[in-house]
Amino acid sequence: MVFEPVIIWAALAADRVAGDPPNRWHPTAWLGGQFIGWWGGTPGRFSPSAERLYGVVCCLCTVVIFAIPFYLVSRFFPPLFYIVAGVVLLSLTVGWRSLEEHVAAVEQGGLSRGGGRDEVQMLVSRNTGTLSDEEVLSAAYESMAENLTDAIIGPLFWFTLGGLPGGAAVFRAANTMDAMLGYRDHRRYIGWFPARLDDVLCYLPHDLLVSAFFSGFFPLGVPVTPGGVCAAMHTCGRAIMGGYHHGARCRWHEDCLCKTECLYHRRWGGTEPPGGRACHRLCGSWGGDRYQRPHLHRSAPCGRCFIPHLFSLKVGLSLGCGFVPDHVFIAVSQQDVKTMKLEELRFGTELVKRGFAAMQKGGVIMDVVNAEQAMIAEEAGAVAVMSLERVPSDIRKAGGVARMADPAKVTEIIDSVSIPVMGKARIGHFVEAQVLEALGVDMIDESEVLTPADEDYHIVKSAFTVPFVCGARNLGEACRRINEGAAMIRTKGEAGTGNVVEAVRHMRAITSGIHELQGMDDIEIAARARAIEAPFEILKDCAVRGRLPVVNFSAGGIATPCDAAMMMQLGCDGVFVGSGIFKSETPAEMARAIVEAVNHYDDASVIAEVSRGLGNAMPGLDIHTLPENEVLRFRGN
Amino acid sequence: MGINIGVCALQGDVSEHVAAFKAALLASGQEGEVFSFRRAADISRCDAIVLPGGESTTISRLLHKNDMYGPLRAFKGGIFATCAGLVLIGREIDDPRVEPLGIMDISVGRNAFGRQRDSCERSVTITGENPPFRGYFIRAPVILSVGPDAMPLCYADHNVVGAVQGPHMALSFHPELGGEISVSTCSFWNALVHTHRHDRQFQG
Repeated sequence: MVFEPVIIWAALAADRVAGDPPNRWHPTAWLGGQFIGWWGGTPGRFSPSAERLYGVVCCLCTVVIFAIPFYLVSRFFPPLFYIVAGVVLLSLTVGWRSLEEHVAAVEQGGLSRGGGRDEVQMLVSRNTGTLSDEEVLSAAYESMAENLTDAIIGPLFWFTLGGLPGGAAVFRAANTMDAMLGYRDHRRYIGWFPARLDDVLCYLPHDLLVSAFFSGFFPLGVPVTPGGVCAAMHTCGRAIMGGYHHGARCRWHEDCLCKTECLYHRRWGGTEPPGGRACHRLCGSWGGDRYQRPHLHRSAPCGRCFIPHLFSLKVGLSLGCGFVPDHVFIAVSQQDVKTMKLEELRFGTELVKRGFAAMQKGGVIMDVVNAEQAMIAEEAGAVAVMSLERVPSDIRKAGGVARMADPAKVTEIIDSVSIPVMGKARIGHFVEAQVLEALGVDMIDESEVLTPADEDYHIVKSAFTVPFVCGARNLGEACRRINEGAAMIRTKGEAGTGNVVEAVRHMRAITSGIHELQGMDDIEIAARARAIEAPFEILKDCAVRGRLPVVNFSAGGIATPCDAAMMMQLGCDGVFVGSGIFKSETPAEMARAIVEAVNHYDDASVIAEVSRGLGNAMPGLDIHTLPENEVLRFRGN
Repeated sequence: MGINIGVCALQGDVSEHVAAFKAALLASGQEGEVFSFRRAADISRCDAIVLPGGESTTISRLLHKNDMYGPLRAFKGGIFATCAGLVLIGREIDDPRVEPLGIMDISVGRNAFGRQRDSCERSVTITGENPPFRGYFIRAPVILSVGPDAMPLCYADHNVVGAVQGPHMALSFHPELGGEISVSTCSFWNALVHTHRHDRQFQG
C-alpha cells in the first residue's frame, strides 16, 4: 500500500511528540491486567499444565481482542480516515518517546545514589535496590537497547510485513503480555507461552537490527577506542555467550548496542567497555529472572574470554543465534515439571507436630485474653500466645467451672498476631479440642487450669492434626502424655499463684527421673516403666537421648525474669508465663524482660539489667494455704 | 583448616541444627566445629552461620535487641537459613512486622501454606537429575520471587522452597528434623561455603 510509508513516519512522529498513554489507560496493559487479575496471581493454586494452558488462552485472547479495532480500521475505513486512524493506532504500538524518557530519567538521577533505581526497576522489571550506580546506568542502557526492538523495530517490521492488525497489533499485544508475564518467578508457567511467542515474533526484527548494527558498529567502534577491534569482538562474543547461557535467543544485540554506546560516549571514562569477567560466572548460572534476559553486567575487562568468544560467535551464528540453549532450557524446565509430580501430602505427622514444638524452643509463650494483650506479647518478642477466657489467677478468683475460651475471642486473637496462637481445652474434653482445631489454633493445651471434663481419660491426641501440649509433674506422667500423642510437655507447676516452687519441683522430678534411667539396663527400665506407669519404649527413648523425646517447657508460677531464667538453667526448653505478665504492674516491660531473661538465661548481668525497675510482679499466693479443691496440679493423671 | 559453623541461638530449633551439622561434618570427613552463639561479638568467630527455624517475628526482634542486624549483614561467610531464617535472609517480606536482612536476592511470603493444621510433609524436588525427597514444612514460608543474584534450588509443587546465592543457602522446609535429606543438605552447604572460602582466599 502506498500509505504505509506515510503512516510509519507520521506514527513515529506522533509517538515522539505525544508519548504513550499511562499504563492504566494503555489498552494492552489493561486487557492483560484483567486476565491476570482473574487468575489471581496466586502461585500453586492450579497445576503447572493448567497454568500454562491458561497462559496460552489468555495471551491469545488478548492478542485477538487487541487486534480487532485494528482490523476494523484497516478493513472498512476510507483512505483518508485510514491514514489518520492508522497513525493513531500504530503510534499506540510503538514506544519511542516513553523509552527515551525512562532512560533519560535514569541517566539524570542515576549518578546520585538512590536515584534512578525506581525507573530502572520499571524498565527491567526487577529489584534494583542492591545495584551500584554503574550497574543502574548499565541496566538502563541495556534495556534501552533491548526495548529498541520491542518498542520500535518490532512493530514497524511487522507492520510492514503484515499490516496493521496482523502485524503491528499482534506484535504489540504479544510483546506486552510477555513483559507482564514472562518471568521465572511464580509466573513461570503462566508466562511460558507469552515468552515463547514473543521470542518467535522478535526473532526476525532482532536479526534485522543486529545486521544493521554490525554494519554500523565497526566503522564506529574502531576509531573510538585504541584496540577497538579486539574490544568490539570481545563485546559481541560475550554478548552471544551470555545469550547462549540464558536461553536468550538473539537478544545479544542489546549488549552490543549498549557497549557501542559506552564506547562512543566514553561513559565509564576508560577505553574498555564494561562487561567481562562476570561472564564466566554468567555462563555457569541460570539466575536470570526473565526467560530472555541475561544478568546485569559487571565491569571488569577480561582478555581471557576473547578466543572462546570468537569461537562462540562463529558457532552461534551458524546455529541460528542460540537455538540450542533455548532448546536445552525448555528441556530443563520440563524436567522440573516431570519430577514435581506431587506425592501424597502428610498432615499432622508426629514429626510435623514435634517439629512445630521444636520451633518454639528458647521462647516465651504468654497467656493473653484479648487481641490487645496478644499484640503486646508479640511486640515484646513472645514466641506464641495462649488464648484464654481468663488468666489462671482470675480463674482461681472466679471459681466455678472454667471452660474453653469463647471462639470469637480465639479468632480475634488469631487475626491480630502473626506468631502462633494456642488454645486451652479441658482435660479429656475432645470436642473442645476439635473446636479449637477447627478455629485454626496452632497448638492445643490440654490443661489442668481448666476444670477437667474427664477424670479417667485424657484426649487421644494422636488423632488430631494439630499438636498438643500437656502438663506433667513427673516422668511417668510426661511419658503417658507423650504416649497419647502430646508433641510437647510442660511442667504443671501451680498456675495462677506466682509461686515458682512447684514448677521447680516438677522440672527436677522429670530431669532426675531421666538421669536415673540413664544408668539402667533394659530390664531395670522395664521395672521402672511398671512402677511409674509409663510405656517402656518412651522411657528407653528418654534414656538414650538423656532428655524427653519432645520439647519440654516450664509453666505454672513463673512471675519474674529470674524465675524464667532459673527454669531455663534447670534444663527446660522455654517457658509459659500465665498470669505473671498481665497481672504485673507493667505488663509490656515485664514481657520484654522475661523474653530477654530467657534469651540470656545464663548471663546474670543481663538478667539484672532487664529486671531493673519493673515494679511489682503479680501478687503471689501461698500454696500451702490453698484448699485442696483449688490445687490445680493434682488434676489429670 | 577446620570450619567454624555458628548456629544463631536466639530462638528456635538450635540443637537440631547443631546435631545435623555435626553429623554432616562427620559424614563428609571435614574438620570443623559446630557451636551455638547468642551475641553479636561471636559472629567474628564464625566461618559460616546458621539461622535456624523458629518464629521469625521473635527472632527478628531478638536480632534487634542484640544488635545483630549490622554484623550479620556485614558477615562475609556463608549463611544457611531454615524456615524463619529464610524469612529473615531475604530482601523483601510480605509482612512489615519482620525486618529482612537483605542478604539474599529473594522475596518471601510468610506462612504461605497456612497455619499449623496446614503444615505437612510434602515432596520436594531439587533442580537437576535428583530424585524427589520428603520435606517437613511447618508454618513454612515460600520464596515468591528469585532475583537475578539468587538461584532457585528446590521446588514443592511449583512453589520455590529453596534458593542459593553464592555461599548462602535458604530452605523453607526443615532438613535438620531428619530424614534422608538432612545430612546431604548440610554437606552440600558445607561444600558451598568451602568453595567460596577457597575462592576468596585465592582472589586475595
